[in-house]
Amino acid sequence: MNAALDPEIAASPLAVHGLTVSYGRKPAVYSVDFVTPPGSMTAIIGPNGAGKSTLLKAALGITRRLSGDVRVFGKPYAEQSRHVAYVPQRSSVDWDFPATVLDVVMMGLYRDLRWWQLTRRRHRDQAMQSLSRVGMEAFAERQIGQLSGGQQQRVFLARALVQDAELMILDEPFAGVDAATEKAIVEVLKSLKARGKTLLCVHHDLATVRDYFDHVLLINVRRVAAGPVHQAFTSAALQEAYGGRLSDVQLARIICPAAHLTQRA
Amino acid sequence: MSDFVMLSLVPMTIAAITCLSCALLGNFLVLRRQSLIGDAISHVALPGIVASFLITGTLAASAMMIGAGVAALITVVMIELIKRLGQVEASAAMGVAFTAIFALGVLMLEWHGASGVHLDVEHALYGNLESLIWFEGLGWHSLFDRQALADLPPQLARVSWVALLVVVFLVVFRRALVIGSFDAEFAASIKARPAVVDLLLVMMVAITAIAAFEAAGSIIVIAMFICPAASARLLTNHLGQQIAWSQVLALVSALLGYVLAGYGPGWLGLDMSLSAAGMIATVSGLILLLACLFGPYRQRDGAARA
Repeated sequence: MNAALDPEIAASPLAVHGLTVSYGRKPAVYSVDFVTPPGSMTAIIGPNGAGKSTLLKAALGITRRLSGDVRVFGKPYAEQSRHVAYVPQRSSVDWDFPATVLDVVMMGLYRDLRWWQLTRRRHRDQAMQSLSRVGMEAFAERQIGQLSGGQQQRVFLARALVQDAELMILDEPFAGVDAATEKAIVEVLKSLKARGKTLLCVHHDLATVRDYFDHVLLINVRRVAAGPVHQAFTSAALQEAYGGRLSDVQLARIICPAAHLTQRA
Repeated sequence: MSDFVMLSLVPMTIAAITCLSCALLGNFLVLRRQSLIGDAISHVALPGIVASFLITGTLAASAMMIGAGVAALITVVMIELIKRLGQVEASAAMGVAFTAIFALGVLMLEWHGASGVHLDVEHALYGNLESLIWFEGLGWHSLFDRQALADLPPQLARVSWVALLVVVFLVVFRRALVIGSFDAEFAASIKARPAVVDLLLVMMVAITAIAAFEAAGSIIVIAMFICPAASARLLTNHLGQQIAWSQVLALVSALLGYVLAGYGPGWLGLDMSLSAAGMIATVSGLILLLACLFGPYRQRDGAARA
Protein backbone atom coordinates (compact mmCIF):
# COMPACT_ATOMS: atom_id res chain seq x y z
CA MET A 1 0.00 0.00 0.00
CA ASN A 2 1.52 3.27 -0.97
CA ALA A 3 -0.25 5.76 1.23
CA ALA A 4 1.40 8.77 -0.31
CA LEU A 5 0.04 7.97 -3.76
CA ASP A 6 -3.45 6.75 -2.97
CA PRO A 7 -5.80 9.72 -2.45
CA GLU A 8 -8.44 7.51 -0.85
CA ILE A 9 -6.05 6.41 1.87
CA ALA A 10 -4.63 9.89 2.37
CA ALA A 11 -8.15 11.17 3.01
CA SER A 12 -9.27 8.30 5.24
CA PRO A 13 -9.14 8.82 9.02
CA LEU A 14 -8.28 5.14 9.41
CA ALA A 15 -7.03 2.80 6.72
CA VAL A 16 -5.73 -0.66 7.55
CA HIS A 17 -4.03 -2.99 5.12
CA GLY A 18 -3.19 -6.65 5.64
CA LEU A 19 -3.74 -6.38 9.38
CA THR A 20 -3.04 -9.66 11.14
CA VAL A 21 -3.13 -10.28 14.89
CA SER A 22 -2.62 -13.55 16.68
CA TYR A 23 -3.09 -14.67 20.25
CA GLY A 24 -1.09 -17.85 20.53
CA ARG A 25 -1.13 -19.92 17.37
CA LYS A 26 -4.54 -19.06 16.00
CA PRO A 27 -4.96 -15.75 14.20
CA ALA A 28 -7.61 -13.50 15.78
CA VAL A 29 -7.62 -11.18 12.81
CA TYR A 30 -6.25 -12.31 9.46
CA SER A 31 -5.11 -9.96 6.74
CA VAL A 32 -7.95 -7.44 6.99
CA ASP A 33 -8.06 -4.48 4.61
CA PHE A 34 -10.39 -1.62 5.30
CA VAL A 35 -10.49 2.04 4.35
CA THR A 36 -12.84 4.06 6.56
CA PRO A 37 -14.70 6.59 4.40
CA PRO A 38 -14.29 10.10 5.85
CA GLY A 39 -17.46 11.45 7.45
CA SER A 40 -19.04 8.00 7.63
CA MET A 41 -20.63 6.18 10.49
CA THR A 42 -19.41 2.62 10.16
CA ALA A 43 -20.48 -0.46 12.10
CA ILE A 44 -18.03 -3.31 12.57
CA ILE A 45 -20.10 -6.46 12.69
CA GLY A 46 -19.35 -10.09 13.28
CA PRO A 47 -20.02 -12.94 15.72
CA ASN A 48 -18.35 -13.30 19.12
CA GLY A 49 -14.65 -14.01 18.72
CA ALA A 50 -14.61 -12.60 15.19
CA GLY A 51 -11.83 -10.22 16.16
CA LYS A 52 -13.77 -6.95 16.04
CA SER A 53 -12.28 -5.45 19.21
CA THR A 54 -8.91 -6.95 18.40
CA LEU A 55 -8.93 -5.30 14.99
CA LEU A 56 -9.52 -1.89 16.58
CA LYS A 57 -6.99 -2.42 19.36
CA ALA A 58 -4.34 -3.48 16.86
CA ALA A 59 -5.12 -0.48 14.66
CA LEU A 60 -4.70 1.81 17.69
CA GLY A 61 -1.43 0.17 18.71
CA ILE A 62 -2.88 -1.21 21.95
CA THR A 63 -2.44 -4.82 20.85
CA ARG A 64 0.68 -5.82 18.96
CA ARG A 65 0.01 -6.74 15.35
CA LEU A 66 1.87 -9.46 13.50
CA SER A 67 1.78 -7.64 10.21
CA GLY A 68 -0.10 -4.96 8.35
CA ASP A 69 -0.10 -1.25 7.88
CA VAL A 70 -2.25 1.32 9.71
CA ARG A 71 -2.66 4.84 8.37
CA VAL A 72 -4.47 7.85 9.77
CA PHE A 73 -4.91 10.44 7.01
CA GLY A 74 -2.15 8.70 5.11
CA LYS A 75 0.42 8.76 7.92
CA PRO A 76 1.33 6.17 10.58
CA TYR A 77 -0.92 6.11 13.66
CA ALA A 78 1.90 6.98 16.05
CA GLU A 79 2.26 10.41 14.43
CA GLN A 80 -1.45 11.00 14.07
CA SER A 81 -2.99 9.61 17.22
CA ARG A 82 -4.26 13.10 18.12
CA HIS A 83 -6.91 12.69 15.42
CA VAL A 84 -8.37 9.58 17.01
CA ALA A 85 -10.50 9.23 20.15
CA TYR A 86 -11.06 5.75 21.53
CA VAL A 87 -13.93 4.60 23.73
CA PRO A 88 -12.99 1.19 25.16
CA GLN A 89 -15.47 -1.36 26.41
CA ARG A 90 -16.95 -0.27 29.68
CA SER A 91 -16.05 -3.59 31.28
CA SER A 92 -12.35 -3.12 30.53
CA VAL A 93 -11.71 -0.79 33.49
CA ASP A 94 -11.92 -0.91 37.26
CA TRP A 95 -14.86 1.32 38.19
CA ASP A 96 -13.82 1.13 41.82
CA PHE A 97 -10.95 3.49 41.00
CA PRO A 98 -10.90 6.58 43.25
CA ALA A 99 -11.87 9.17 40.66
CA THR A 100 -14.79 11.46 40.03
CA VAL A 101 -16.68 11.72 36.77
CA LEU A 102 -14.88 14.99 36.04
CA ASP A 103 -11.49 13.37 36.70
CA VAL A 104 -12.22 10.70 34.10
CA VAL A 105 -13.38 13.20 31.46
CA MET A 106 -10.27 15.31 32.07
CA MET A 107 -8.15 12.29 31.13
CA GLY A 108 -9.19 13.12 27.56
CA LEU A 109 -7.16 16.34 27.84
CA TYR A 110 -3.92 14.45 28.50
CA ARG A 111 -2.26 15.72 25.35
CA ASP A 112 -3.06 19.36 26.07
CA LEU A 113 -1.35 19.34 29.44
CA ARG A 114 2.41 19.08 29.88
CA TRP A 115 3.66 17.78 33.21
CA TRP A 116 4.52 21.22 34.60
CA GLN A 117 1.10 22.61 33.78
CA LEU A 118 -1.68 22.62 36.33
CA THR A 119 -5.25 21.86 35.40
CA ARG A 120 -6.95 25.20 34.86
CA ARG A 121 -10.46 26.56 34.83
CA ARG A 122 -10.49 26.41 31.03
CA HIS A 123 -9.82 22.64 31.08
CA ARG A 124 -12.51 22.13 33.66
CA ASP A 125 -14.95 24.10 31.51
CA GLN A 126 -14.06 22.01 28.48
CA ALA A 127 -14.73 18.82 30.43
CA MET A 128 -18.01 20.18 31.82
CA GLN A 129 -19.09 21.09 28.30
CA SER A 130 -18.51 17.53 27.12
CA LEU A 131 -20.41 16.23 30.11
CA SER A 132 -23.37 18.42 29.33
CA ARG A 133 -23.39 17.12 25.74
CA VAL A 134 -24.05 13.64 27.11
CA GLY A 135 -26.41 14.95 29.79
CA MET A 136 -24.10 14.09 32.71
CA GLU A 137 -23.08 17.53 33.98
CA ALA A 138 -25.03 17.00 37.22
CA PHE A 139 -22.82 14.01 38.02
CA ALA A 140 -19.44 15.77 37.63
CA GLU A 141 -18.38 15.35 41.26
CA ARG A 142 -19.81 11.84 41.61
CA GLN A 143 -17.51 8.92 42.35
CA ILE A 144 -17.42 6.76 39.19
CA GLY A 145 -18.26 3.59 41.12
CA GLN A 146 -21.69 5.03 41.94
CA LEU A 147 -22.80 5.27 38.31
CA SER A 148 -25.10 2.90 36.45
CA GLY A 149 -23.84 1.13 33.34
CA GLY A 150 -25.47 3.63 31.01
CA GLN A 151 -24.01 6.56 32.95
CA GLN A 152 -20.54 5.00 32.84
CA GLN A 153 -20.85 4.66 29.09
CA ARG A 154 -21.85 8.30 28.75
CA VAL A 155 -18.84 9.37 30.85
CA PHE A 156 -16.60 7.42 28.48
CA LEU A 157 -18.27 9.16 25.57
CA ALA A 158 -17.69 12.56 27.21
CA ARG A 159 -14.02 11.72 27.67
CA ALA A 160 -13.78 11.00 23.92
CA LEU A 161 -15.70 14.19 23.06
CA VAL A 162 -13.24 16.34 24.98
CA GLN A 163 -10.46 15.00 22.76
CA ASP A 164 -12.16 16.71 19.81
CA ALA A 165 -10.77 14.16 17.35
CA GLU A 166 -11.66 13.63 13.70
CA LEU A 167 -12.31 9.92 14.20
CA MET A 168 -14.08 8.36 17.15
CA ILE A 169 -13.69 4.63 17.65
CA LEU A 170 -16.19 2.99 19.97
CA ASP A 171 -16.09 -0.59 21.21
CA GLU A 172 -19.66 -1.76 21.86
CA PRO A 173 -21.02 1.53 23.18
CA PHE A 174 -24.51 0.06 23.56
CA ALA A 175 -23.54 -3.02 25.57
CA GLY A 176 -25.53 -3.19 28.78
CA VAL A 177 -27.21 0.23 28.49
CA ASP A 178 -30.95 0.83 28.58
CA ALA A 179 -33.00 1.98 25.59
CA ALA A 180 -33.11 5.62 26.68
CA THR A 181 -29.33 5.80 27.08
CA GLU A 182 -28.84 4.06 23.74
CA LYS A 183 -30.98 6.70 22.09
CA ALA A 184 -29.10 9.52 23.83
CA ILE A 185 -25.74 8.07 22.73
CA VAL A 186 -26.95 7.64 19.13
CA GLU A 187 -28.07 11.29 19.08
CA VAL A 188 -24.61 12.42 20.19
CA LEU A 189 -22.94 10.22 17.57
CA LYS A 190 -25.23 11.50 14.83
CA SER A 191 -24.53 15.11 15.79
CA LEU A 192 -20.82 14.36 15.52
CA LYS A 193 -21.38 12.93 12.07
CA ALA A 194 -23.35 16.03 11.09
CA ARG A 195 -20.26 18.05 12.02
CA GLY A 196 -18.16 16.03 9.61
CA LYS A 197 -16.54 13.65 12.11
CA THR A 198 -16.05 9.98 11.32
CA LEU A 199 -17.33 7.21 13.58
CA LEU A 200 -16.26 3.60 13.73
CA CYS A 201 -18.21 1.40 16.05
CA VAL A 202 -18.21 -2.26 17.07
CA HIS A 203 -21.88 -3.10 17.07
CA HIS A 204 -23.84 -6.18 18.10
CA ASP A 205 -27.50 -5.47 17.51
CA LEU A 206 -28.05 -6.35 13.86
CA ALA A 207 -31.60 -4.98 13.94
CA THR A 208 -30.45 -1.39 14.46
CA VAL A 209 -27.59 -1.35 11.93
CA ARG A 210 -29.75 0.26 9.26
CA ASP A 211 -31.07 2.94 11.60
CA TYR A 212 -27.76 3.99 13.05
CA PHE A 213 -25.08 3.44 10.42
CA ASP A 214 -24.34 4.24 6.80
CA HIS A 215 -21.40 1.87 6.28
CA VAL A 216 -20.59 -1.60 7.55
CA LEU A 217 -17.54 -3.83 7.86
CA LEU A 218 -18.42 -7.49 8.35
CA ILE A 219 -15.62 -9.61 9.68
CA ASN A 220 -15.08 -13.07 10.99
CA VAL A 221 -11.31 -13.19 11.50
CA ARG A 222 -11.08 -12.32 7.79
CA ARG A 223 -12.94 -9.53 6.09
CA VAL A 224 -16.29 -10.77 4.77
CA ALA A 225 -17.78 -7.65 3.26
CA ALA A 226 -17.50 -3.87 3.50
CA GLY A 227 -19.22 -0.87 2.00
CA PRO A 228 -22.36 1.22 2.26
CA VAL A 229 -25.11 -0.49 4.27
CA HIS A 230 -27.43 -0.95 1.29
CA GLN A 231 -24.71 -2.75 -0.68
CA ALA A 232 -22.70 -4.70 1.85
CA PHE A 233 -25.26 -5.50 4.54
CA THR A 234 -26.88 -8.42 2.73
CA SER A 235 -28.19 -11.75 3.93
CA ALA A 236 -25.50 -13.57 1.98
CA ALA A 237 -22.74 -11.55 3.68
CA LEU A 238 -24.35 -11.99 7.09
CA GLN A 239 -24.69 -15.73 6.62
CA GLU A 240 -21.05 -15.91 5.66
CA ALA A 241 -19.93 -13.81 8.65
CA TYR A 242 -22.05 -15.74 11.14
CA GLY A 243 -21.30 -19.13 9.61
CA GLY A 244 -24.92 -19.74 8.59
CA ARG A 245 -26.18 -19.54 12.15
CA LEU A 246 -28.87 -16.93 11.49
CA SER A 247 -32.37 -18.15 10.66
CA ASP A 248 -34.36 -16.86 7.68
CA VAL A 249 -36.80 -15.08 9.97
CA GLN A 250 -33.95 -13.32 11.75
CA LEU A 251 -32.39 -12.35 8.45
CA ALA A 252 -35.65 -10.99 7.06
CA ARG A 253 -36.08 -8.88 10.17
CA ILE A 254 -32.50 -7.57 9.98
CA ILE A 255 -32.24 -6.84 6.29
CA CYS A 256 -35.70 -5.37 5.85
CA PRO A 257 -36.98 -4.16 9.21
CA ALA A 258 -39.59 -1.92 7.58
CA ALA A 259 -41.03 -4.79 5.52
CA HIS A 260 -41.15 -6.92 8.63
CA LEU A 261 -43.06 -4.27 10.53
CA THR A 262 -45.66 -3.83 7.80
CA GLN A 263 -45.98 -7.60 7.54
CA ARG A 264 -46.72 -7.81 11.23
CA ALA A 265 -49.17 -4.93 11.04
CA MET B 1 18.19 14.53 75.43
CA SER B 2 21.58 14.42 73.77
CA ASP B 3 21.06 10.65 73.81
CA PHE B 4 18.08 11.12 71.60
CA VAL B 5 20.00 13.02 68.96
CA MET B 6 22.80 10.52 68.94
CA LEU B 7 20.82 7.31 69.10
CA SER B 8 17.32 7.96 67.82
CA LEU B 9 17.14 11.03 65.60
CA VAL B 10 18.79 9.48 62.56
CA PRO B 11 17.04 6.09 62.67
CA MET B 12 13.72 7.80 63.20
CA THR B 13 14.27 10.17 60.30
CA ILE B 14 15.40 7.33 58.06
CA ALA B 15 12.36 5.28 59.06
CA ALA B 16 10.06 8.23 58.39
CA ILE B 17 11.56 9.04 54.98
CA THR B 18 11.54 5.39 53.97
CA CYS B 19 7.94 4.96 55.04
CA LEU B 20 6.84 8.10 53.22
CA SER B 21 8.47 7.22 49.92
CA CYS B 22 7.32 3.60 49.98
CA ALA B 23 3.77 4.65 50.84
CA LEU B 24 3.75 7.20 48.04
CA LEU B 25 4.54 4.55 45.43
CA GLY B 26 2.32 2.10 47.25
CA ASN B 27 -0.75 4.13 46.28
CA PHE B 28 -0.27 3.18 42.66
CA LEU B 29 0.67 -0.42 43.41
CA VAL B 30 -2.54 -0.85 45.41
CA LEU B 31 -4.67 0.77 42.69
CA ARG B 32 -3.09 -1.45 40.05
CA ARG B 33 -3.46 -4.53 42.27
CA GLN B 34 0.29 -4.96 42.02
CA SER B 35 1.10 -4.71 45.72
CA LEU B 36 2.95 -7.99 45.65
CA ILE B 37 5.66 -6.54 43.40
CA GLY B 38 7.11 -4.61 46.37
CA ASP B 39 7.19 -7.83 48.33
CA ALA B 40 8.85 -9.63 45.45
CA ILE B 41 11.53 -7.02 44.91
CA SER B 42 12.47 -6.71 48.55
CA HIS B 43 12.79 -10.48 48.84
CA VAL B 44 15.03 -10.89 45.85
CA ALA B 45 17.35 -8.20 47.14
CA LEU B 46 18.82 -10.86 49.44
CA PRO B 47 20.11 -13.20 46.71
CA GLY B 48 21.26 -10.12 44.81
CA ILE B 49 23.33 -8.94 47.72
CA VAL B 50 24.75 -12.39 48.40
CA ALA B 51 25.68 -12.80 44.75
CA SER B 52 27.37 -9.43 44.66
CA PHE B 53 29.31 -10.36 47.80
CA LEU B 54 30.37 -13.68 46.27
CA ILE B 55 31.53 -11.95 43.11
CA THR B 56 33.17 -8.81 44.46
CA GLY B 57 34.07 -10.00 47.94
CA THR B 58 33.11 -6.65 49.48
CA LEU B 59 30.20 -5.42 51.50
CA ALA B 60 30.41 -1.92 50.04
CA ALA B 61 26.98 -0.35 49.79
CA SER B 62 27.36 0.38 46.09
CA ALA B 63 28.18 -3.23 45.23
CA MET B 64 25.27 -4.46 47.32
CA MET B 65 22.85 -2.07 45.72
CA ILE B 66 23.96 -2.99 42.22
CA GLY B 67 23.56 -6.66 43.10
CA ALA B 68 20.07 -6.05 44.45
CA GLY B 69 19.20 -3.99 41.39
CA VAL B 70 20.30 -6.72 39.01
CA ALA B 71 18.32 -9.28 40.99
CA ALA B 72 15.25 -7.04 40.85
CA LEU B 73 15.65 -6.70 37.10
CA ILE B 74 15.98 -10.47 36.65
CA THR B 75 12.88 -10.96 38.79
CA VAL B 76 10.81 -8.49 36.80
CA VAL B 77 11.83 -10.18 33.55
CA MET B 78 11.11 -13.61 35.06
CA ILE B 79 7.66 -12.51 36.26
CA GLU B 80 6.85 -11.20 32.80
CA LEU B 81 8.05 -14.43 31.17
CA ILE B 82 6.09 -16.68 33.52
CA LYS B 83 3.02 -14.53 32.97
CA ARG B 84 3.27 -14.73 29.18
CA LEU B 85 4.47 -18.30 28.72
CA GLY B 86 2.47 -19.87 31.52
CA GLN B 87 -0.57 -17.67 30.84
CA VAL B 88 -1.16 -17.17 34.55
CA GLU B 89 -2.11 -14.00 36.34
CA ALA B 90 0.52 -11.55 37.52
CA SER B 91 0.27 -12.33 41.23
CA ALA B 92 0.82 -16.05 40.64
CA ALA B 93 3.87 -15.29 38.50
CA MET B 94 5.24 -12.95 41.19
CA GLY B 95 4.67 -15.55 43.89
CA VAL B 96 6.56 -18.21 41.98
CA ALA B 97 9.40 -15.92 40.92
CA PHE B 98 10.24 -14.27 44.20
CA THR B 99 9.96 -17.29 46.48
CA ALA B 100 12.20 -19.30 44.16
CA ILE B 101 14.82 -16.57 43.93
CA PHE B 102 14.68 -15.81 47.64
CA ALA B 103 15.14 -19.51 48.44
CA LEU B 104 18.12 -19.56 46.12
CA GLY B 105 19.55 -16.65 48.08
CA VAL B 106 19.20 -18.49 51.38
CA LEU B 107 21.00 -21.52 49.94
CA MET B 108 23.76 -19.36 48.47
CA LEU B 109 24.24 -17.73 51.84
CA GLU B 110 24.53 -21.00 53.76
CA TRP B 111 26.59 -22.78 51.17
CA HIS B 112 29.18 -20.08 51.12
CA GLY B 113 29.19 -19.74 54.86
CA ALA B 114 28.98 -15.99 54.58
CA SER B 115 27.40 -16.01 58.02
CA GLY B 116 30.81 -15.07 59.38
CA VAL B 117 30.40 -11.73 57.70
CA HIS B 118 27.72 -9.37 58.93
CA LEU B 119 25.22 -10.59 56.42
CA ASP B 120 22.42 -12.77 57.58
CA VAL B 121 18.80 -13.45 56.89
CA GLU B 122 17.64 -11.76 60.05
CA HIS B 123 19.47 -8.58 59.19
CA ALA B 124 17.96 -8.68 55.74
CA LEU B 125 14.45 -9.08 57.05
CA TYR B 126 14.33 -6.86 60.10
CA GLY B 127 16.90 -4.33 59.06
CA ASN B 128 19.17 -2.62 61.46
CA LEU B 129 17.67 0.75 62.11
CA GLU B 130 18.97 0.88 65.67
CA SER B 131 22.56 0.56 64.52
CA LEU B 132 22.45 3.82 62.56
CA ILE B 133 23.99 5.83 65.33
CA TRP B 134 25.16 9.42 64.83
CA PHE B 135 28.29 9.38 66.96
CA GLU B 136 29.01 13.06 66.50
CA GLY B 137 25.43 14.02 67.28
CA LEU B 138 26.05 15.30 70.77
CA GLY B 139 22.96 17.46 70.97
CA TRP B 140 20.62 19.56 68.88
CA HIS B 141 23.43 22.04 68.25
CA SER B 142 25.15 19.34 66.19
CA LEU B 143 22.57 19.90 63.50
CA PHE B 144 24.39 23.16 62.75
CA ASP B 145 27.85 21.73 63.09
CA ARG B 146 29.38 21.03 59.72
CA GLN B 147 31.82 18.48 61.08
CA ALA B 148 29.16 16.58 62.98
CA LEU B 149 26.89 16.57 59.95
CA ALA B 150 29.64 15.00 57.88
CA ASP B 151 29.51 12.06 60.26
CA LEU B 152 25.83 11.32 59.62
CA PRO B 153 25.26 7.72 58.53
CA PRO B 154 25.38 7.61 54.71
CA GLN B 155 22.03 5.80 54.64
CA LEU B 156 20.30 9.05 55.54
CA ALA B 157 21.51 10.82 52.42
CA ARG B 158 20.76 7.76 50.34
CA VAL B 159 17.12 7.38 51.39
CA SER B 160 16.64 11.15 51.08
CA TRP B 161 17.87 11.17 47.49
CA VAL B 162 15.64 8.25 46.67
CA ALA B 163 12.66 9.99 48.28
CA LEU B 164 13.34 13.06 46.17
CA LEU B 165 13.56 10.88 43.06
CA VAL B 166 10.21 9.28 43.91
CA VAL B 167 8.57 12.69 44.33
CA VAL B 168 9.99 13.95 41.02
CA PHE B 169 8.86 10.77 39.26
CA LEU B 170 5.33 11.10 40.60
CA VAL B 171 5.07 14.80 39.75
CA VAL B 172 6.32 14.35 36.20
CA PHE B 173 4.30 11.23 35.43
CA ARG B 174 1.25 11.90 37.59
CA ARG B 175 -1.27 12.07 34.75
CA ALA B 176 0.18 9.17 32.78
CA LEU B 177 0.30 7.09 35.97
CA VAL B 178 -3.31 7.79 36.86
CA ILE B 179 -4.62 7.21 33.33
CA GLY B 180 -2.55 4.07 32.90
CA SER B 181 -3.71 2.72 36.25
CA PHE B 182 -7.37 3.38 35.50
CA ASP B 183 -7.58 2.52 31.82
CA ALA B 184 -4.43 1.14 30.21
CA GLU B 185 -6.04 0.67 26.79
CA PHE B 186 -7.20 4.25 26.61
CA ALA B 187 -3.77 5.34 27.82
CA ALA B 188 -2.17 3.43 24.95
CA SER B 189 -4.56 5.00 22.45
CA ILE B 190 -3.58 8.54 23.48
CA LYS B 191 0.11 7.61 23.51
CA ALA B 192 0.45 8.03 27.27
CA ARG B 193 2.78 4.99 26.99
CA PRO B 194 1.33 2.86 29.79
CA ALA B 195 3.89 0.10 29.27
CA VAL B 196 6.80 2.52 29.71
CA VAL B 197 5.22 4.16 32.74
CA ASP B 198 4.53 0.71 34.19
CA LEU B 199 8.19 -0.23 33.80
CA LEU B 200 9.33 3.07 35.32
CA LEU B 201 7.03 2.50 38.29
CA VAL B 202 8.49 -0.95 38.87
CA MET B 203 12.00 0.50 38.57
CA MET B 204 11.17 3.19 41.12
CA VAL B 205 9.77 0.53 43.42
CA ALA B 206 13.00 -1.44 43.03
CA ILE B 207 15.22 1.57 43.72
CA THR B 208 13.18 2.57 46.76
CA ALA B 209 13.00 -0.95 48.09
CA ILE B 210 16.74 -1.48 47.76
CA ALA B 211 17.69 1.82 49.40
CA ALA B 212 15.22 1.18 52.20
CA PHE B 213 16.20 -2.44 52.52
CA GLU B 214 19.76 -1.58 53.26
CA ALA B 215 18.81 1.04 55.83
CA ALA B 216 15.71 -0.35 57.43
CA GLY B 217 15.15 -3.96 56.33
CA SER B 218 12.68 -5.45 53.92
CA ILE B 219 9.87 -5.96 56.43
CA ILE B 220 9.31 -2.20 56.55
CA VAL B 221 9.38 -1.99 52.78
CA ILE B 222 6.79 -4.71 52.30
CA ALA B 223 4.48 -3.23 54.91
CA MET B 224 4.85 0.34 53.67
CA PHE B 225 4.16 -0.48 50.02
CA ILE B 226 0.80 -1.89 51.05
CA CYS B 227 -0.57 -0.84 54.43
CA PRO B 228 -0.72 2.99 54.36
CA ALA B 229 -2.10 3.14 50.81
CA ALA B 230 -4.60 0.34 51.40
CA SER B 231 -5.76 2.00 54.64
CA ALA B 232 -6.00 5.38 52.91
CA ARG B 233 -8.14 3.86 50.14
CA LEU B 234 -10.69 2.91 52.79
CA LEU B 235 -10.79 6.45 54.16
CA THR B 236 -11.60 8.33 50.97
CA ASN B 237 -12.88 7.96 47.41
CA HIS B 238 -10.62 10.68 46.08
CA LEU B 239 -7.14 9.94 44.76
CA GLY B 240 -5.53 13.17 45.98
CA GLN B 241 -6.89 12.67 49.47
CA GLN B 242 -5.89 9.02 49.38
CA ILE B 243 -2.28 9.99 48.69
CA ALA B 244 -2.35 12.60 51.46
CA TRP B 245 -3.80 10.10 53.93
CA SER B 246 -1.23 7.49 52.97
CA GLN B 247 1.51 9.96 53.85
CA VAL B 248 -0.03 10.83 57.20
CA LEU B 249 -0.50 7.17 58.08
CA ALA B 250 3.03 6.28 56.98
CA LEU B 251 4.48 9.03 59.15
CA VAL B 252 2.38 7.99 62.14
CA SER B 253 3.44 4.35 61.69
CA ALA B 254 7.11 5.31 61.48
CA LEU B 255 7.20 7.60 64.51
CA LEU B 256 4.78 5.67 66.70
CA GLY B 257 6.39 2.35 65.76
CA TYR B 258 9.85 3.60 66.54
CA VAL B 259 8.87 5.07 69.91
CA LEU B 260 6.86 1.99 70.90
CA ALA B 261 9.73 -0.34 70.01
CA GLY B 262 12.24 1.69 71.96
CA TYR B 263 10.24 2.73 74.98
CA GLY B 264 7.10 0.56 74.97
CA PRO B 265 8.60 -2.38 76.87
CA GLY B 266 10.05 0.08 79.40
CA TRP B 267 6.61 1.50 80.06
CA LEU B 268 5.48 -2.05 80.80
CA GLY B 269 8.35 -2.39 83.23
CA LEU B 270 10.38 -4.68 81.02
CA ASP B 271 14.06 -4.07 80.59
CA MET B 272 14.31 -4.60 76.85
CA SER B 273 13.53 -3.03 73.53
CA LEU B 274 11.94 -4.45 70.39
CA SER B 275 12.89 -4.27 66.72
CA ALA B 276 11.91 -0.84 65.45
CA ALA B 277 11.30 -2.11 61.91
CA GLY B 278 9.06 -4.89 63.19
CA MET B 279 7.11 -2.50 65.38
CA ILE B 280 6.66 0.04 62.56
CA ALA B 281 5.31 -2.67 60.28
CA THR B 282 3.02 -3.88 63.07
CA VAL B 283 1.64 -0.41 63.71
CA SER B 284 0.92 0.06 60.01
CA GLY B 285 -0.86 -3.30 60.02
CA LEU B 286 -2.95 -2.27 63.01
CA ILE B 287 -3.87 0.98 61.26
CA LEU B 288 -5.00 -1.06 58.26
CA LEU B 289 -7.08 -3.25 60.57
CA LEU B 290 -8.74 -0.18 62.06
CA ALA B 291 -9.41 1.20 58.58
CA CYS B 292 -10.96 -2.13 57.57
CA LEU B 293 -13.23 -2.04 60.61
CA PHE B 294 -14.17 1.64 60.67
CA GLY B 295 -13.17 3.21 57.33
CA PRO B 296 -16.07 5.08 55.73
CA TYR B 297 -15.46 3.62 52.26
CA ARG B 298 -14.93 -0.05 53.02
CA GLN B 299 -18.00 -1.05 51.01
CA ARG B 300 -18.15 0.53 47.63
CA ASP B 301 -20.85 0.45 45.00
CA GLY B 302 -18.42 -0.10 42.14
CA ALA B 303 -17.04 -3.26 43.63
CA ALA B 304 -20.50 -4.65 44.28
CA ARG B 305 -21.69 -3.96 40.77
CA ALA B 306 -18.62 -5.35 39.03
